Amino acid sequence: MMEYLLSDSIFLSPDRDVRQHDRVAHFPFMSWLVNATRPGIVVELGTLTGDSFFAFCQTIEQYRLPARCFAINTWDGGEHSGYYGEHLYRSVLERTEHRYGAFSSVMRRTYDQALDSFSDGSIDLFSIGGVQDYEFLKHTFDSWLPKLSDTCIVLLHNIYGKERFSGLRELWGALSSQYRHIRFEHFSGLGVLFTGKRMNEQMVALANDWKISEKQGVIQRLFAMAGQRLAENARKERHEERLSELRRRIHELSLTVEQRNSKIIQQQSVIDELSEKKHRMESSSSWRLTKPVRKFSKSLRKRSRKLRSFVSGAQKGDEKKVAAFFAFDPSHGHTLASKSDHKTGYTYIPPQKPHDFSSFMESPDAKPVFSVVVPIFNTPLRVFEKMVDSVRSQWYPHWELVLVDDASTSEETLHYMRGLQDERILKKVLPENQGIAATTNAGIAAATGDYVLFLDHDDELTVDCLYELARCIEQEDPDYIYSDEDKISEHGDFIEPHFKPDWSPDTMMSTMYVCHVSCVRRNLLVQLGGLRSQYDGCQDWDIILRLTEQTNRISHVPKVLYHWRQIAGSVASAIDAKPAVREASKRVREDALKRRGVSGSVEEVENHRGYFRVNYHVQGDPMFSIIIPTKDNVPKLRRCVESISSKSRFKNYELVIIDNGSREASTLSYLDELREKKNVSVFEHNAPFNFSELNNIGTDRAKGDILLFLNDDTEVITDDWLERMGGYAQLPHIGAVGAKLLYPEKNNIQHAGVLNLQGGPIHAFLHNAKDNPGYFMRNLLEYNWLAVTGACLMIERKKFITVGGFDESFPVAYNDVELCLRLYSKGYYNVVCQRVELFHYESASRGLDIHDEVKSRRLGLDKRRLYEVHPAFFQYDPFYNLNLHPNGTNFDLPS
Amino acid sequence: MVMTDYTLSTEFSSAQDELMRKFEDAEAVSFDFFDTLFGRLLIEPEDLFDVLDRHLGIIGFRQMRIAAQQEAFRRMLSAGKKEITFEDIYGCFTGLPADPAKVMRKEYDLELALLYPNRDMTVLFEKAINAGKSVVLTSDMYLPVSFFLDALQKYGLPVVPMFISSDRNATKRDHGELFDIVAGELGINHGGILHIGDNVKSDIQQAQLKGITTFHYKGVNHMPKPSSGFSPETSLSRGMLRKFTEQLEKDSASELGFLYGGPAAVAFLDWIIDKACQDNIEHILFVARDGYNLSRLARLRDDSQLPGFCYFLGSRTVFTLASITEDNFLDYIPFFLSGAEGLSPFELLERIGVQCPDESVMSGLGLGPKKVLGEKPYTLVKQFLYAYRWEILRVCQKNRRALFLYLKQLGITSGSRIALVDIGWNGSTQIAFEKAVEDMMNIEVFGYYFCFSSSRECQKNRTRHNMSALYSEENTSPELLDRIYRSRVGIELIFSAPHPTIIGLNLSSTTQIEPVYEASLRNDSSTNAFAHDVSEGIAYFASSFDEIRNDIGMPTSPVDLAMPLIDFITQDDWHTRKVLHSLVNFDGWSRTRNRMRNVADYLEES
Repeated sequence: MMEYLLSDSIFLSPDRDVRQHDRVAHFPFMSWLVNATRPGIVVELGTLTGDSFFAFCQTIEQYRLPARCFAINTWDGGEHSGYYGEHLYRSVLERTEHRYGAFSSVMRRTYDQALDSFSDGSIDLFSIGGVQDYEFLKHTFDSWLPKLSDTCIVLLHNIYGKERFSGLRELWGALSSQYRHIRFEHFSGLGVLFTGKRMNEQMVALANDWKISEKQGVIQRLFAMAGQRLAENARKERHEERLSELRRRIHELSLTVEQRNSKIIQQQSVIDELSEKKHRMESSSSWRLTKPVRKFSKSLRKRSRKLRSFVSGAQKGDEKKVAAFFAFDPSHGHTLASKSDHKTGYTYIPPQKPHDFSSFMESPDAKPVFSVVVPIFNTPLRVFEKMVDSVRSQWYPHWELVLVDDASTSEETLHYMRGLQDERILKKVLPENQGIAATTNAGIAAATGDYVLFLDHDDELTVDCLYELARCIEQEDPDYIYSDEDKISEHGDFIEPHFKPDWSPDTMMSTMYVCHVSCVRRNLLVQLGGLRSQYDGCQDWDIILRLTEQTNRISHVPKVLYHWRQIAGSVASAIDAKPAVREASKRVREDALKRRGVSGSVEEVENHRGYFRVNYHVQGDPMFSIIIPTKDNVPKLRRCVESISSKSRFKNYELVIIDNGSREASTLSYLDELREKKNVSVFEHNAPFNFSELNNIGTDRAKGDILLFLNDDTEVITDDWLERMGGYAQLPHIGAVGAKLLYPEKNNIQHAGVLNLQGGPIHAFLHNAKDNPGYFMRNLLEYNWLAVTGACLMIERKKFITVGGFDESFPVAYNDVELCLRLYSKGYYNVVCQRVELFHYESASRGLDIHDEVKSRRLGLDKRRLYEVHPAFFQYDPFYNLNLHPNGTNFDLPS
Repeated sequence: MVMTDYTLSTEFSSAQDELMRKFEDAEAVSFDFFDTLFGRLLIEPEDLFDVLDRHLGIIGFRQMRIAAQQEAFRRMLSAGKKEITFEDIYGCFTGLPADPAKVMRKEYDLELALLYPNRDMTVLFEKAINAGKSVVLTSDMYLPVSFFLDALQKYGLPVVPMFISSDRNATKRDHGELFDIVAGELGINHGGILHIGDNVKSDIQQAQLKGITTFHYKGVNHMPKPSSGFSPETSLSRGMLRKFTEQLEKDSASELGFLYGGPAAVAFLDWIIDKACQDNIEHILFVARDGYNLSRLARLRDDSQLPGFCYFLGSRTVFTLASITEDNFLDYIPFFLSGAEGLSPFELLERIGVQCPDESVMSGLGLGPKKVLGEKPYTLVKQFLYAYRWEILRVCQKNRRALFLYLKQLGITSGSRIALVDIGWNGSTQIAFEKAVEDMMNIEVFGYYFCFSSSRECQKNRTRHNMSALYSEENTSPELLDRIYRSRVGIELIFSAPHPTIIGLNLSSTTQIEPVYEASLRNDSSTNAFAHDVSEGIAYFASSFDEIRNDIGMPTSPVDLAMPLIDFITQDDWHTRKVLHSLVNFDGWSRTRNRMRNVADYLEES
């Protein structure tokens, strides 16, 4: 039996922070050893943090042993140990003096200098640590050997340590062949040498048991397990410490973020003023002149600083090349630099053929054939050649190019076309000029491919265009595909990229956003009877409207696959450049309304000639229920109610006020007053604030066919707001309808649609001027959005009930977004009526959640939960575009 | 006439004609039992005592058992007897801390459980009976006749007359007296008897001295033996090769899988299940590619302790990309450039699934396909990466979104406790994963590894993350850990999956997760075929081993069970195996079209 090992000293725990867990792992053995040998003098050479030295001290103190203990080192570091500074010495000294001063001393000396302080044969326990080389350690050991008593035990630390402990390892190798010994293998190892001639009873037992492999195993495991327990505890303590530190840091950062947010808001006010001034100055310019708001100067400065550190190491000449990526200096003459938009930082970079192109082509799936149909009319040779080359350069091989000449009179055009000798190119010449629709139809009739792709005679396809379309067809089997596009300026630069949303039926009624590249399954195109000449100029818009009434298999490739050449007077240049086109654009939509059996009017957008929106008329005589939760907010509620009453042109509505526990006498009195009105109901729900619950209760009480959830801090501006929003709400495919909400102080934007960006749901165009067109007129035209704010959200009751109403597990934040995501997931489209305006006194009444630590944390948790509930929308918004800045609330291009 | 419908399946088949001739001529056939009609699933017969040791928990049982047998022999000689019995042995035990009768019964049961019928001989055995020949069993063995009867019945073999030394007090080995008894009882001349056995002295020399026709059968002994000091787990796992030798081509990838990968994978999975139970894990993610075989084995397990698990289509590259945003992009430039030496610039993008600009653009920047990156600092490349960051960030975002959806589809949600399983070495994949998910959901991640490196980086990571390994400094010396780490390519090869490295995740239009594999190079097929065959060997081992382990109920130590793999890859010449010669450029991150690297090259670089 091995009872001599059974001592409570094994279970002693270090009473200080232990820095090196390899030392704490041997703490149990060292404690046991001190208790078992009861040394008179203990000397440690190479004390650094004191982890092992204090193990001796603590045991001596614990068992009141008559020992003296010495820690020896210079604490000035060295090339092996690193220059660890004065603080370690101070820390060991202070702790020794303060705690163990009665029997322990710290000697700041070299090992040789300290020798004279000890008489020969006096040291009973001698411990050597450190990272010196073998020669030095061997010299040290030899010098100190005479000082060791005839029962002395020598400990060597880190005998299995890494490279920097190679000196100790070598010393152990040398001494273990001379002296009786045992060694522990766990962690970095500990060597124990019995250098004395005598050993006490317990040491004899230990050394003898060590020779028996089973017993040796027991001893190894005993001390390793005890050490492991301590190391785990030490690790846990450090983990806890780190957690506390992190919590402290998070708190500090929250404060910093709060301060920064206040600054941002202040700066935003300045920006708003400047934007407004700029907009007034540019009010006569087209929407294209309005460029995205740049990022905050701070982040730009930060990035520039980091970039400079890279650039500083560059070879001579490299800066110029790389700068070409950033500055886009046309004088540089580089391929990229010469084809970029200096104003936005956009450049088109042609891609390399992907490595799996061959395997894609060799896969057994049938590969579609594309018929690229191009109507030709007096096409200038320079652009004609480029157009043809762009088709011939396609990676994807299965195509035919159908050129149909609409009775060109340009000999240059005809000559070039006649000279094209390529079996993949079909040529057709019409005897007389018939216009673009008829010419295109002639091309469709001649086409034999599976899909027809429309290409204008002066535009270009990117080299990967057909390949990307083929991939899309393989994966999604669509009837219609469109892609992103950019423009080629008159100077040959690639500019104005249009990074489009996924299929948006209401956006399509506001603007021909799908544009190029458009690719249609040929059979469907033939079934529809092709393009219609009466809409020449907007014949493509007309056909897309018609075909998307026949199919919902519509795909979007979010990649620039088409370069639209901008020529003065062309549609690419400005939509109002051709009056006939403007007129046709109105008619295609009027025709669509008629075809669809929907009553509505197509109205020109104020101050934006050539742009139209659809005003859907309310069907029948529905009743609107305006549901307003409130609590002790009389002035605003009164303003809200009175604005509804005074502004609303449509009168068949009721107000459903849900009082969430008002106590103020003025509120109670006003609510009593409201109860007297014939179209107002007031219900009480005295429970903790839960926006979703209040609105669901309101819905239960409401009698109307159409629900409008409205905040009590809003004020109606637009008099036909109910019927305008209601017209949309009644469309079968529409879920939620939002409105434009403005901050009253500056008349700037609080809500024009909710984006779901990398950072989470956020209001687009926040603080922009209300008439700022936004990216491709998004702030003025009726676009589909993923979500709209619940501050003013209209929806048909039957749809609201069908999807289950508001989710009451989102009491405060994101309940509106959650509802909209659910609606979209169930096949409904949400839309914002930019024409409908209300004031929203939001910031004045509630304050931003980010300013309150508790609210901010709750907001974060709610956001996380929103995506737990709707994982498909994590960092994804189908009505945004991944090529835009991941957090671009103004649809910023990344730069 | 020589029978043609019987073939010896072993490498010993060249002697088939001789056997068949003798068989046809014999009136009676005597089959030796152990290592002839039946084999044992152990390297040495005495390894059974170690298995018994595991069952009983008696340290040193093997020595005690051997000593008892020796004492029984000594007493047998003193008593003038010619053979010992099972009871004799157990009567000689001293200081056995258990009831000897129970131990004896356990040994009997284990011996029976670890037998397997040797198809080479059982087919012949039945043919002989069907041919009307007299058939007997002969064995020099202390076990009783009932044991042999049990063995025959367990495997549905016909019971024949048995001549067991312990029953007859006569042996083959000493003077061949047992053969006389056989001839006598059968009433057949010695010359009419064919005896088949494996022992040169007992079965061949002594039988021939009696005038018996013999056939020396050596079929069950082929087996690479470990050098020394192996555990019962090793004995069992290696011994199994005997039973399945027909199905495994010698020196093939599947044999490597069976011999080394199988025990290691079973051991690692045992350890993982145990750890997962301790840590209350709800989901185990066996990360590709190292987790392929483990997840395959987990699917075969019928273990109620096994929580939800999956083969997790991810990698350090995927997780790292999923962590990168505009704000931290510059911090990851070193990641993009790690191991860049020898690669062409476009390969830096290719290996993270980012489409490169056209060759003309890259050439214009001085970064064309012919450019081979030398040593750091790669200033121009860094500048290019920064300039091209939005393309890279798009891929990062795509990965981030797909990873989130993937986790959700797996049922992982805030509050989940999950284990991420990887082979080793420093926890970098776990750290990348934790970083990637920290903004997505609040989950507790436990990293389970086959082996840790002994590096400072690993130690540092372990203080900050939940990380555990089957082999770590807690049970393995730093020297051995270093040797394992230096040969890690061997372990990674054995555990790998038959598909290329996953460098990204894609979402289909229906939000199905699709892995993006690294660009395929021309030798992928041989690497994949190798991994496939290894995997087959591993699965084959695991299903057989689990069955036997269940049968015998032996508790196994994962550290001991996986040791054959450690022994294998820490040999100096393991990589010279012919089956490894065709493997080149199998490390996805550092491979390049500019240079072919084989196993030796990877070893040299590690």
